[in-house]
Amino acid sequence: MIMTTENAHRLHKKFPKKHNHYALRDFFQFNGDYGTITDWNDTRNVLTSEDFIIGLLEGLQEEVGDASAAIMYTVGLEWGKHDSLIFEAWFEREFGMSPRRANLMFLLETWWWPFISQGWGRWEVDMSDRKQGFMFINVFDSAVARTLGDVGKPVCHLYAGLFAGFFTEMVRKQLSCIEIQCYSMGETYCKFLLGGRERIDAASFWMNEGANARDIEKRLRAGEGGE
Amino acid sequence: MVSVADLLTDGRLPGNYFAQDLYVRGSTELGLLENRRGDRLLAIPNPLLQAIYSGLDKETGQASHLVLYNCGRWWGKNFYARFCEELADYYKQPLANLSMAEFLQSFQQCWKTHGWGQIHLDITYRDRGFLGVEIWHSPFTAAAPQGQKPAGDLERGIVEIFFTQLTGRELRCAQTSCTAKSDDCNRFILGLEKRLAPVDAMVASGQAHQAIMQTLVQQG
Amino acid sequence: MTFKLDTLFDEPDKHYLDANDLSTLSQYVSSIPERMAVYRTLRDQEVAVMQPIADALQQQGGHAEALVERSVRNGLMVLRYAAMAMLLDDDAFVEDRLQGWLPEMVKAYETQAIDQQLFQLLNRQLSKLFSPAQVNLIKPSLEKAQSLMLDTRETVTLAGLL
Repeated sequence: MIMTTENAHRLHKKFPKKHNHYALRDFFQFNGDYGTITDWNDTRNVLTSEDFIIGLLEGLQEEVGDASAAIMYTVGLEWGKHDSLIFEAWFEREFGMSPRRANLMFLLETWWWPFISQGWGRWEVDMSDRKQGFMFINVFDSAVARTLGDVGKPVCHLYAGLFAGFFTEMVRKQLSCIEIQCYSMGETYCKFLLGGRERIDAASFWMNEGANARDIEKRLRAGEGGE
Repeated sequence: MVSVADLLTDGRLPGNYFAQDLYVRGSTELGLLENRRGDRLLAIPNPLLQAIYSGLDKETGQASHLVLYNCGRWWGKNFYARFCEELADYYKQPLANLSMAEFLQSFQQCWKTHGWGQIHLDITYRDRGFLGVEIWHSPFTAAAPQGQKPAGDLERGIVEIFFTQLTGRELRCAQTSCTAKSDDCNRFILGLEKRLAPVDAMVASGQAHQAIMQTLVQQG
Repeated sequence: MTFKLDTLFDEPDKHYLDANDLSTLSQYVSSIPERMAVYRTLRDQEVAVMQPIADALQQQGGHAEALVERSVRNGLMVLRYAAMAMLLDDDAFVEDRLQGWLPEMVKAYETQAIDQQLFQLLNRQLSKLFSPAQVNLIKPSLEKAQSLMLDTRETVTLAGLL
């Protein structure tokens, strides 16, 4: 959508350097006349209940069956790629610094803040294994898993795709992501493994053989699953 | 005689349930959004909408229109149920007792508060068995690939099932104009399937909404 | 938190409020007791204020009971929101709550004419109840509500649909 003076974020225009803008009424600008919602970064948003996620999954399931998981991952991947471009632009605008020169932890926290305002849940990044080429991301209150409840398998393919797409663009290296523990498997939070394709394929294989998140972590740290 | 005290049973005066500042709540501590009943809400940013279109196109190609329409129907089915439940709870009476004006105004306000643009009903052809729906400032077709074909499949699905459930008649929905092909808004026609049968061909041949309506009405 | 005060705290790098800001703040704070007094009266006298208006609309105006009920409901709703807006010193509050709702209801039930009469009667009632200074506190939000309700922008009429 084209940004006009009606839907551009007024508070942001007035205070372009305000960093603490993630409260609902600051982050979103509601335009009741047009029925539009613009966020702090001038991106349009729509609000939905959990019914939207269910609708998406059911509609896909009906048409493509089990391939719906892979499609949701692809959608996430595309999302992450689009988002990385937008993020780079607003990060540079807000902090006057290229994202590539910023402290990594700060950069990632900054990236996730809008998702918190948008209701996608909190996250926690564990980078202790990054030198070995993989890292873990925990998501609390995943919108997908919370919606579906306990179904006995990982369901947050959209998040996995989002992480893979975003990090692939930011790191400029082909990365994949897999959810190795999910609220929908009766766990309290969701855990994602991010890394090169070979490792993620290995983790997927171990999972199919019944490995849990802890087994996978152990095997990766022992150097299994490739370089 | 009108008794003001009687109008104020339990002191309540139900009004704009979906008023945006009342309806949407958020907690940055938890990273959650919710509505005034405490049901979870999600903000879907434009990049995700774009990703839904491009991702589906990559994976399912031409079938993506059908997939989105199906998703819209599923979404609409649950949306309708939730919408009715919320209103019945709020008005503390069965939905059947609620006037159509209140019901539809709530529907329009709900649409706006969720940021889905403005939805209007066009009842010009009501006597001929058609109901028109216009959606202005749609975020969905704004995020869809722009081209020659209507792209409001999600909305077509949700509108079709919503009015099917509301009227208790199996209605179909066809889209006649779309912002994704540079029209001013998204227009939809609701009616019985066999009466809407010629619409898709007319849309494909580039006919405008008004002309299509004329043909439909003349066909009786 | 009122909209006016909100803007005082938006500025990110300003550590202290300047004299103008503090004067805005103090004007509001010192007006609070009066605002609360008006608010309490409106709350406690809600029925007493509105009943004579309902009677007048029905008897002198000769309007049908159902229409009077509709209009009185509108009036009660406006008064409640106007009272809250006055308490918060935030005219936008009335707009936020009523826009997209009340004007549409007015059109759907065709109460424009009777609502107009209701507002006249309401103003008369309020001037009996309050001092001119007190009336001035509530007036801006009432006027805002009135202009919103009688806004004649064209929309599709929903009454009688389906």
